[in-house]
Parts: sequence; C-alpha cells; structure tokens
Amino acid sequence: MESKKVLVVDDEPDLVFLCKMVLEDEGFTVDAYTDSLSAFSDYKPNNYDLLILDIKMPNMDGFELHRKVKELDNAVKVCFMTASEMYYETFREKEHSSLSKDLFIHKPIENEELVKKINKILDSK
Amino acid sequence: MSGIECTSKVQIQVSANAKNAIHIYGDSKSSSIIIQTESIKKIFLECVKRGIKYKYITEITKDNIPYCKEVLKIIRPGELRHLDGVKGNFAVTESEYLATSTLYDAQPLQEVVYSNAKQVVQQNECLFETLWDKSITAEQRIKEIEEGLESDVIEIIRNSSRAKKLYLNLVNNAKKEVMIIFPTVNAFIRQDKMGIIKSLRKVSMESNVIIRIMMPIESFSQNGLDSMSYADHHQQKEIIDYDIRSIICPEGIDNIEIRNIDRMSEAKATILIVDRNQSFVMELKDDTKDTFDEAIGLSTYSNSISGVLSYVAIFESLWIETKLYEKLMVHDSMQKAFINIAAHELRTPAQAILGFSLLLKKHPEIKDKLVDGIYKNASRLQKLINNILDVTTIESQSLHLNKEKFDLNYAISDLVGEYRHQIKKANSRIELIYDNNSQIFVESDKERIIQVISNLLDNAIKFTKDGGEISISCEADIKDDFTKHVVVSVRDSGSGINSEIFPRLFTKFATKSYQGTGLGLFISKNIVEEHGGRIWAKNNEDGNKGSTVAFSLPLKINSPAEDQKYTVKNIVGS
Repeated sequence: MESKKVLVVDDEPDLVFLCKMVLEDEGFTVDAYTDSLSAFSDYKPNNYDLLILDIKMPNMDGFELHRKVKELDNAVKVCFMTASEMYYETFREKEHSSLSKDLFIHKPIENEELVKKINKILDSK
Repeated sequence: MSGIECTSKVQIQVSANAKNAIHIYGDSKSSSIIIQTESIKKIFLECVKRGIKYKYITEITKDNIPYCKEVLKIIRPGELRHLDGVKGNFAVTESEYLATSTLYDAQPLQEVVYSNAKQVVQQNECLFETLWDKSITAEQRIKEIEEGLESDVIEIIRNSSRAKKLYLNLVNNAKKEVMIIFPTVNAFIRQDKMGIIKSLRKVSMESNVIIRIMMPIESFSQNGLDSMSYADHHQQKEIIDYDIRSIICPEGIDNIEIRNIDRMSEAKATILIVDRNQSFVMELKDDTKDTFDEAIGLSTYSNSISGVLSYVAIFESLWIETKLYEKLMVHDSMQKAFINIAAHELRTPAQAILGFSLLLKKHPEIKDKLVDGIYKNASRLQKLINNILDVTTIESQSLHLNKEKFDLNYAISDLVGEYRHQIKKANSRIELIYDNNSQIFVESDKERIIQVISNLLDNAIKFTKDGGEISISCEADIKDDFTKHVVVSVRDSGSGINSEIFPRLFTKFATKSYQGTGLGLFISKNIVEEHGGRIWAKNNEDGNKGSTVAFSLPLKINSPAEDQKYTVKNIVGS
C-alpha cells in the first residue's frame, strides 16, 4: 500500500519535529512547516491525504490557512491540533460548527494516541 | 359700604383710629397693591411712625416676593407671615373691622364691609389669631422659595408630548448634576432621537453639569429596534456595544460617565434626577415602539425633596454596585485570559516533553537532540510556573525582598556572559553589548533584580532578528543629594513595541506574540516598584527600529567622596 502523505504546520519547531518523527515511524510521508505563510505558498493541491494544522500561529492562523487551502483543494482532509481552548471554541462556534469534534486533537497527546486519532480521521469518510 | 370715595375714607379712618395694632389678612395680590398704590403705602408709613404694630398674613409666592419684601420693610417692626391659599381680605384693629372680597391690581376698593361692633371685632380678631398661629414667617417662606424649596409639587402627566417637553426642559435647565437611568437600550435610542443626549452634552459642556448615566450597554447589539437606522442617525456604519460610550461622550467631554447595568429586565421606567431637587419618572408602556410618544405611558414629576432624595439614594447605590460589577467583570475576563494563555503555554512544552520522552526509547540515535529538547521545554515550563507563582505573590501583596549590598555592574556582566553563551549555543548572531567597568553598589534583592534584567533581555532577544544587536547600559543618575538613582536600560534593534500593546505594556497578559504569557513586564514592574524604583519603555526614535526598556533603582551613597565613583559614565553601544 502506498504511504499516506501528511502536511504538518505548527509554529513550534519542537512539536513539528515530534509530529514528523512519530508519523514517519508509522510509515507516513510527512512535509512539515513552522510557518503557515510558506506552508500555503508551497501548497500543492491533490498532494496530501491529510493536513494537521496548529491553530494559534503568527501571521496566518490555522483557521485562515484551512480556509485558503480549501479554496485550492476542497477534497483534502484537515484536522487541527490545538493547545488553546479559547481559539478552539471561537473557531468551532463562529465558523465551523459543522466540523466534527473528532477533527480537533488537543495537546498534549501521547504519540500512540496521536497515531490512532490520525488513522481514524484518515479512515473516516 | 360702597363707592370709591367712601371706601378709601373708611380705610383711612380705620387706620387713623387704630391705637396699638393693625392685623391684616390679605390675598397674594394685597402686597403689590400696597406697594403700588402711593396713597395706601402712605397710610402704612404713617401708622408705623405712630408706633402701630402690624401683623400681616398673606400668601407669599414666587411672583410677589419683591412686594412682600417691600411690605416687610415698611411695616417693621411689625411682622409679615405666609399662609397657603389665602382668599379674601380683612383688617382688624382694637375697635374696628374692615373686609373686602376681591382686590384688583392698584385699583381703589369699590365695596367694603365695615363694623365697629365689639362682638364682630372680637370674633374676627380671634379668627385672625388662629390663622396667625398657622402661618410661617415671611423670612422662612422667602428663603424656601429662593432656594427652590417651594411647596412640593407632584404631578402626574398623561400627555406624552407634554412629558417630552418637560423632560427636555428639565435637562436643559440643569445647573449642577443630572442622573439618568435608561431601562432598555430602546428607551435610550428613542430618547437620543428626541434630542436628550444632545441636550446632555450641551449642558455638560456649557454649564459644566456633571452627568451620570446607567443603562444596559451589553445588550446593545441585540436590541429590537432598527439599529441600522440608528447607526445612520449617528453617521456610523454600525453600532456595536462599546460605541455607545463614544456616542454619548465623544472625546473632550469628561464630565459624562456611563455605566452598565444589565439586570434591568424588570425595570420599566426612565428615571431622571436633576440637581438633586427634581425627579421625573417616565413609565414605559411599549418598548417595541419607535417613538417616545408611542412608547411612553404615565410620567411623574416631583420636586418633593424627600421623594427626590429617595431616588438619589437608589441611584447612588446602583451606581456603586455597577462599579463593583464592572470590576468583577474585568477580574473575570482577566481570569479567562490567564487560563487561556497559561493553558497554551503549559500544554505546548508538556507536549514536547511527553513526545520526546516516548521517542527516546525508539530513537537512541538522536538521544542528545531529544534530551536537549526535553531540557529546553522543561525549562520553559519552569519559567512559566515561576511567573505564575510570582504573579500570585504580587497580587496577594506578599512580595518580600531579601535586600543585600552588591555590585550591580558585576552582576550584569555575569548575566551578559551567560546570555552570550546561550546566544552562541542557539547559533544566533545577535550581538549583546555591555561595556562597563565601574562598580555600582546597590542595596537590593539581587535575585529579583537579575530576574528583571533577564526578563528585559529575554524580550529583547525574542523580538530581535538574527544579526541585530542589543545593548545594555547601567548608569548612575545623580542630580542632588536626594535624587540618586541607577538606571539600567536594555535597548534592542528589534521590531519595536506594538502600539496596541503600548498603553498596557506593564499590565498582565500584555502580549501580541504567539509565545509568552505577557507576565514578564508585569512582574518586573512590581519588583522594581517594590524597590522604590520606576520602569518605563519607549520605541527608539533615532531611525533605528527597536525599543528601549529601562528601570531605575534608588542608589545609596554614604559620602561625597564616594559620589565621584558612581558618576563615571558608561560607554553604551558601539
């Protein structure tokens, strides 16, 4: 089976590194960015199976990146990793109440748990 | 008796016959007739001259005060008293009685009733004394009228256009103070449209009237009226919650204060209190209506002091309550901000520590990198925990200093050395400049002062790009024997301080960055101030970007000889 391709965007270098390591260990192919602007300018539609986006980021936050990417690539699956309750709540309430709660991964999360969640999201329709 | 000639004759006769006293009971017109009719005035003057003592009861009103004052002068040492609702006129002496029913301005009497029958005279004298006992002195009455304490008026107004007129009139004639409670946002909008707010602004600017308004501000955006047309009324695109304050008092007006009351669901009346001596309560009939005329029900005007002061008391206690409530809300939102920021800042390093520890087992080949990462994130956590504890200490006012005498220069040099090492280790090319050799002794909490300088350096590094420079200076600032300070400043070539953050730079959670809690400068300020110093910040003016944050500490100098040592200037930057 071809390996799944994932894009990780988080402004914390350590967390990007961590996520990339964990997913690569599980056989994923991972592109990682610490800057949402370059992540967007480099973005190629129909290239990824899943985007994992941090929410609270400078320059362009995860919501904005999600919105812009969706314009280019409506089919791609997106999930969010967040450490900020307030950001998460505002986002869900105001803009994306249709998004399933399952698409939000709360930090901190153990590595195995993260892989499980991501596989679940990838398997969902 | 009738006929002009006859009546004036009898008046003169009665006066002339009086030996000791003349008692007069006259309606509100009587005083003006005495003063304006020369012949009558003359009779009075002559009698007083003869030693006749007058007792005079009349109704003193706003309109006849000047005449009553004149009468008071003329009849002295006789007395003038006031009684409400005096009707008819009569005079009694020891032996005679004279009465008439109607008096016309400065017109001689057409008809009088006269008697010198002992019984009639005694009977009327008895009546007079009874009335005299019920009356109050003219002086008291005049004072009451002049101080606006004129007899209490409580009026119920059913006609809404009259209510509107009275409402505007009351506001426009306010001399010192206006208090208003608007029960609903709609009530406010309707009354603003009819010009109340304009009038309030006018009296506040022109007569320096102090205005206090209480209304539900927070529900402004959910009001039932067409808020777009209202926005149009104020030439604004949109009316949002907090614009209400700028609508009522644009910049430059500082004697209008507005507070929010949000538990007004039961309140159904606009309450206006003017100068603490008049109240106007407008009952709300239908809050959904567009105009004041349609929405208003009964209105009650009162200048009864006890009634008005009761409204004042209610207003004042609500006013205090709103202040407490506002404080509580600020506190609440601060707590929320704290939880949110702290949560993000706690979870991020926790995620790294957790993940890296688990990776260690699988990837021994990158052990060093992982351990470094764990250490770095654990330090970040530790720093946050210390900051949170410091804030708690500061807020519970239990920040204690362990003061000791130490060389600030040496301490800074030491710290700079550490930071240079860190910068190098992080492969960053930020230049840290500190060049100072003279000793500067301070008596401070060394650990705390180092904490402050570290905070300033951390901030400077955070906002300075690779290749930029940060310079530290430490200078003694000695003006005279009483003002001796050492000033430590940290200047960077970073992005400068965000103008949004600037006004609240030293308060809690002042951060625009995506890393950090915004607690550092709050803590630093408190440490510096606890030492008796000051802390300040500015964006660099001299073309270079970046900012300078500096703080002062009081300097202890023992002898003038030592002074010299401290004034050595440091070479800053290069």
